[in-house]
Amino acid sequence: MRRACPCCFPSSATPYPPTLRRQRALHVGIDTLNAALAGVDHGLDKFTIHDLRRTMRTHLSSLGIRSEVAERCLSHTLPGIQGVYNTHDYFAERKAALETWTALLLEIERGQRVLQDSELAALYGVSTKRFNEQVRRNRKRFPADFMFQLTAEEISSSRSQIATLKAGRGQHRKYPPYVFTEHGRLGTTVSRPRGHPSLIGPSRSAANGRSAIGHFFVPNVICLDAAPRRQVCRRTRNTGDTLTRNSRTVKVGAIIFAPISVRVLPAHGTRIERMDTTRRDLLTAALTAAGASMTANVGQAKEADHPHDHDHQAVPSDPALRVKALESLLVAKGLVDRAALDELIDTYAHKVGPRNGARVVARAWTDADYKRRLLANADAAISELGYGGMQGEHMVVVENTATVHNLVVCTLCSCYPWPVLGLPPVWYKSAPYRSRSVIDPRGVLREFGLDLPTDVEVRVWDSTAELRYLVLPERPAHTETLTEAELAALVTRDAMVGVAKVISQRDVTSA
Amino acid sequence: MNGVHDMGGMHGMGPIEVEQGEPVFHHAWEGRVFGLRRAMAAWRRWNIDVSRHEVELVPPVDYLRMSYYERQFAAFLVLLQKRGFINSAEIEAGVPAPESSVAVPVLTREKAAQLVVKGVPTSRDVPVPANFRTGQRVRAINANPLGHTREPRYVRGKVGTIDRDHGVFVFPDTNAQFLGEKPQHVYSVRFAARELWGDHAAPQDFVYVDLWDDYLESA
Repeated sequence: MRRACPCCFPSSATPYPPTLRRQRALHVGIDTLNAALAGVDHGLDKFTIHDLRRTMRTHLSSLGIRSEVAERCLSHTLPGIQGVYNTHDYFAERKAALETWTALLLEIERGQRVLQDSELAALYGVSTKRFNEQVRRNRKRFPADFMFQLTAEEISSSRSQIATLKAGRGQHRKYPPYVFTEHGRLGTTVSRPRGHPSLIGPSRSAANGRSAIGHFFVPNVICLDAAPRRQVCRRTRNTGDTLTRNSRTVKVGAIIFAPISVRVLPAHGTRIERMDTTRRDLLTAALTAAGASMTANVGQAKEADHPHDHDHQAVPSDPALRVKALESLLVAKGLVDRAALDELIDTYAHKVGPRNGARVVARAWTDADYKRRLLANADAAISELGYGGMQGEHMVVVENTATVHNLVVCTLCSCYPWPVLGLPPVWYKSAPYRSRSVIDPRGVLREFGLDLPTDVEVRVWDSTAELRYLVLPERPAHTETLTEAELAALVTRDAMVGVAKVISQRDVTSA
Repeated sequence: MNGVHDMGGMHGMGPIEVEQGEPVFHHAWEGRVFGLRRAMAAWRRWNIDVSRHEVELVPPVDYLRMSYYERQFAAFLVLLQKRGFINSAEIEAGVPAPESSVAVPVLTREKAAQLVVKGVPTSRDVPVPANFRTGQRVRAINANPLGHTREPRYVRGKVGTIDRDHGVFVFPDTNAQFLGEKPQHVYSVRFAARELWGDHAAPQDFVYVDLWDDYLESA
């Protein structure tokens, strides 16, 4: 069965998505992730959260993901006119890309990619024997996380994959092969002063030699069940952490650690001749070469976290991915028709809104008989203008006068008369409004800029049942000459909720 | 239930933040949540009171932390599983379980348009006697049910006056537990602000709360 992507489908045991904070221009909360990174022992001197984006982007390319898909994974807009005309969201493609990326991360977590001594020797054009001779002479330069000898068990489990058996006598290996981890490989830059491989010496600052090794790169030589013992051991040394099996810290360290070492690639075909630079220097050099500037340090990352100049679309936030995934599932099960969803969304996003209520109000201002009908039987009067339906099945209209001011709230949830006002604004659904409207309506109104005299009776309508309330505001003065349509244009949503009065154009001008 | 959703009268929630030029949906996914909830409700395996209660069951810390549509989505996900539409394995995998059958959506584009116009009325045209008449003094009962209720805490035990009789409606407390609609009269009850909040409140202010017969007793 296909592996589920943990990025898109976190455990169903925790169905509550994290808070969506109001999104600003930055991709992530700079204060959170960068601060958290400072506490992660990732083996790098400096590291900002954007390095993770670069890491992933680079890998997506190396994994063969199409450029436009990879760019959309980062929420980059497609460049130029493409971005204008191509509005495809690449959801399925992004999901597949992220699953591929996830698979790589899992692979890195579970089993180290290694290269055998013979393959490395072939790369440098020397015999395995000579190569290993050099290694043994420089044994101190190859700690266990750089190079280790396969156990019999590991040889056995990897044999079918690497097919080392050769025909003929003397062709089998006498000794268990050495294998080299990324760091080990990378460090084994070779010069040949006397025709022999001379190991300049590996360094933890070494970058990945994948581009140099190219297709010699052999994944999964060590099978997964044989790897963990060494894996934990190596990681422990790498991160300097007291890591144990199944520790989340291991995961974090590994994910950050491994891809970076892969990411910092020398230009294609270039050998890294000097290994005394730090990995950070390499990183900086690589980025400079790529035309990007480097954030000086984590502390300055607040301003410089985003040094490049390009456009982003909305971040594919966790809820966005999860909702889309759920929709796909419900559609696949035949439970939901996307056309019906589109109809509903389009209706409330574009067709139903406070202009409907404004027409009702303006009609009531200009037609005394209509106003009487509206206050006596709101459902019937509102439907005369063609409005009604969902969350407005049972309407009540309450009238503001010189001595009475009405205010509508729903303290228990967010009940609101959709057919005449559309969907409610965030403030109406918010805790501050819901909590205080009933206990301190005058204070709430003052917050909206409306200071009512003490002789005005305030009536708060709490929509606890299925009745939906619309405030009929007072008609402003100096509007005798206005037509019904002109009056409707003056009526605001806030006035029909009761947090504002309707003011005439003349009032606005004189104010 | 005495949940955090029952906010009337609470302090300390901060200032009201009004966004100028606010869009209907701040993100596309909010619209999808909105649409999905209506489309799935059309299967009638739950009712409005069940879905409201599910939102109330969102743990209080999460309830306050989440945006409106995050809450709706969280509760929706739980409801879909409780009512057997999807299981946790399908949520994990993102694809239907191998053995699951493919249904035919009940809410088509045409029916969605009808739903918008007609709504889902909760009034019931059944002859149920009204326990109270307009102008009568009533007391909101002091009850603290564990399940769903639409009697807010701030009116419990308080005395008000029947302002108007709205007619007969489905009763949320039973409806939310699939225990029947128990249709009964709903009244708008007028409470003096001082009755609810004490001398702190303005003497000329009133709060109108819609309450069912079962929430009221004579006073």
